[in-house]
Amino acid sequence: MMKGIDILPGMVGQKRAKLALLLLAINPHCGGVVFSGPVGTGKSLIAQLLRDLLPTEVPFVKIPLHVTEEAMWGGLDFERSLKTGKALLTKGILERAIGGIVLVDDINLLSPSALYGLLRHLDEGAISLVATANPLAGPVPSAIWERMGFYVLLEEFEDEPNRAEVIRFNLGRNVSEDGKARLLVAQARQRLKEMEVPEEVIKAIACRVLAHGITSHRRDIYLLEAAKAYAALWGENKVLEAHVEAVKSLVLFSEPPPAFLTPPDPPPAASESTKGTHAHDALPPGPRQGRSKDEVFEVGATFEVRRLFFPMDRLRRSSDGRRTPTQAKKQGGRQVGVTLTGKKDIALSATVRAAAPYQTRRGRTTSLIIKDEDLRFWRRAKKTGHLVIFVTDASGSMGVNRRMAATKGAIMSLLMDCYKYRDRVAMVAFRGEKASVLLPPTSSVTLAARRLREMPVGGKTPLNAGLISAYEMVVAQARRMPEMRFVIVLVTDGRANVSISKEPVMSEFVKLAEKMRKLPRTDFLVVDTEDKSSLLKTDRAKKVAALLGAKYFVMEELGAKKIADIVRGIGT
Amino acid sequence: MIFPFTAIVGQEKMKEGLIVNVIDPSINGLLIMGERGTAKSTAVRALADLLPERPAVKDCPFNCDPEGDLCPVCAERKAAGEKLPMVMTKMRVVELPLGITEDRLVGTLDIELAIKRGERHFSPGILAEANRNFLYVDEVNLLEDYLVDLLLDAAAMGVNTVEREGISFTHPARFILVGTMNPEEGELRPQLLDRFGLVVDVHAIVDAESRVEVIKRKASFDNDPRGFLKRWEEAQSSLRERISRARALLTRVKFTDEILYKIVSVSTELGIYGHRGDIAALKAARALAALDGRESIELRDVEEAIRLAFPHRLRKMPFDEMDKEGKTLESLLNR
Repeated sequence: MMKGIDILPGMVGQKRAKLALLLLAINPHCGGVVFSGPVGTGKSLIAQLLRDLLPTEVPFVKIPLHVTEEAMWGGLDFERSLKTGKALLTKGILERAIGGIVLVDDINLLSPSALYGLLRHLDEGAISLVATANPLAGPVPSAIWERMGFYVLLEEFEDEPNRAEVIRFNLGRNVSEDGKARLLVAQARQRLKEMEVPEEVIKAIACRVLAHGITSHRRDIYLLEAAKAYAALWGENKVLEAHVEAVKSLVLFSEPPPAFLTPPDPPPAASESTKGTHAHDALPPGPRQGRSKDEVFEVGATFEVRRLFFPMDRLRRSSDGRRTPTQAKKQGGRQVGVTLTGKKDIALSATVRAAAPYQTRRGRTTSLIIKDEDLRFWRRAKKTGHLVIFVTDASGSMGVNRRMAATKGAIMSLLMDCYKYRDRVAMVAFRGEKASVLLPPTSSVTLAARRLREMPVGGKTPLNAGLISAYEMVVAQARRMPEMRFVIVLVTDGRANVSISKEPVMSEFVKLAEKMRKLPRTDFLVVDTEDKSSLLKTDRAKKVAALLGAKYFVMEELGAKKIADIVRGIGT
Repeated sequence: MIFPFTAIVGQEKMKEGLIVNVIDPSINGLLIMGERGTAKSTAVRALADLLPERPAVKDCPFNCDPEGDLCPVCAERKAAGEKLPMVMTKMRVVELPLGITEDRLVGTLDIELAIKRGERHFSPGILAEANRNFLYVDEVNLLEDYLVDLLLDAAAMGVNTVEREGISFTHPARFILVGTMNPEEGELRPQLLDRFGLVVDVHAIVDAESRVEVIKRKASFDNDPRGFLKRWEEAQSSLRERISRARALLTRVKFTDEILYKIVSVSTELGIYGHRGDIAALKAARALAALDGRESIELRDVEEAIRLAFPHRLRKMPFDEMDKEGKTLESLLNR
């Protein structure tokens, strides 16, 4: 067993996590580490451990999720400034962290401006980052992945001794009370300064990174730095290929990690009592009936659907521009400016600015004199209107008579429409035994189009699994963006034949549909891909639409010719 | 310590796009499209560091050029007969953070003076800092649209005009705008794309030997920055001189009707909107000729310039891949 790694007695299992922490503590040039995993895997606890490894003089600063801009960057200390009449600045969190480590819990929920600060400091090598992420709460920004040396996916412990150990560990926190780990790190930090890196090791690094299909030059540097730290940890003064090999799997992760692209087992949405029946999920998505080969169809003819979402867009603009009483009450949205009229949502800095020039005249002695006419209020705008989630049936039946080419054409047409209205899009496809997220929410329609082109068909029709994926996505996104509206576009012939529980497909679907309809701010659109000229038509998708309370169109009706009907249909 | 520009491995197109902008800042900036980890920001910082120092008015927040456009404060001092004090400064890279507020970008009321003395004074923003410097916007496609508008307006006019909170102020804001974007993470509206003078596509190097060189140089720089800079000083000063000579030569470079027709024929054939592309192509061709020490534009300058000035201005569906457009452009140039 590796003595260096077992030095953290409190951490159960999770060798990779331990190694990542040690390497980062030894060599801050490793960039940082993201610990990802579902709730309850000890992510935050593990991230905290880094503090116990670092030399005491290294700053270790936590950034809370809802950090204000002032706190992040430092800013005007209003209270003291007003008292003294001098502009006094407070030190921001980032400034305090320079030369040390920043800890962020749930980094996928961090605000863009805080994120920017992190990135800049990371690029300047001023800080290193240790972060946690819960895959279900949304994707980690890829700019973060790019700058992280390590990625560690934490798993839940199944075996009892380990679980018991976790509990013990939780009770008495101080892991490295004997200070052994800290000493080890300090010694390694010393050795790092004299570390020799032979040319063939650099070659090995470049080749390994390329062989992994990674092109960013940062990866090479991180692999080198990690190997150096590893060598230092083992008391070496020269990096060997074996050291590169030992840290390779920590550094060479693909971005975004697979965990984000394929959600874990679907939760028991339709059937709470069937734990343990997901065993079949582990089977490879192989067709058991119908067409037996995966095929990729090209994108068929596209057409104009431009007015399809028109009524929804109008909805969005009214919430952007005019303020209805309900919205005025809520303080959601992004602050886009200040106004003279408003109620509770006072913009402090603007108010102070407005009052400032009159202070001498008003006879200010100690505190600022603010009159009614100085008051300024935030004007807020909602974030971009819609997230359109395409849930596409990619089962074998979609390949019959090349239906998939036409279907892809229809989806592409809808994508163009989304581009026009600057909607965000996401894509889920279901086939074989399960659904997978082809594209997490993004504003890049280009990327969506590429994923659509590459999407293969084949296998059975796990429609319910597809809907659950969309369900989870809406729930996660709705939490992050309270203003977002959702449209789930289900593209299918409706011939569902795989359930996620033991229940029959249809009764499972009925329960699921009921749940889906309760989703906040969500509209449904079902596009029926069945060939209606066929004698074998079943109109199953129509029933699916009815149960979801969805607007329903046969694929051929999506074209511009039929617009009038659609506009009348949606948004009423 | 800044990594030397000439020590950056490969990425010749990006280097060229930056250099021509430095030779002729009226080209209106460069948009760098491409993957992460391809030395984009390293290159901008390195180029700023390479360039020779230039005179500026001492302690002027707008970094005024004593011989050029002056801010209202400096103009007033000069008009009063004062001899403006000078310092030599290097060009800087001013970064525009994504989460920036409008206040911080354009400048606003100086709150300290307002409280203390009840006077209204202008407190400069990022656009003031950027005057005569590089303004670097990482992931410009993720910047709020209204901020991009403000930014590009200032870039095109070369001045920043502020009318807010009882403040009325105009100052020079001539900067070299460098934006980066990864097209996979969201598009930039075509009308905004058009405002960037030139565009380059960058890709990571996939040849193992060059990558080894990248790692070696970076590691060697990190280990001993001073020694590394010394080894590169000759290459650095030679490029520095070439750029200085090109700047001096620029206005003497002549172009013929043939050159103009070449540009226009390609742009009409490609169906390029507006005239910004044509002008940017001509200016880039002129800067390339100057960089080469010539007083006349040659066909190869034009071809190279077109490759820089047209790709982002092609009429296209959002889903077309850049490569495809590139091929059309290449086939036209090779005719």
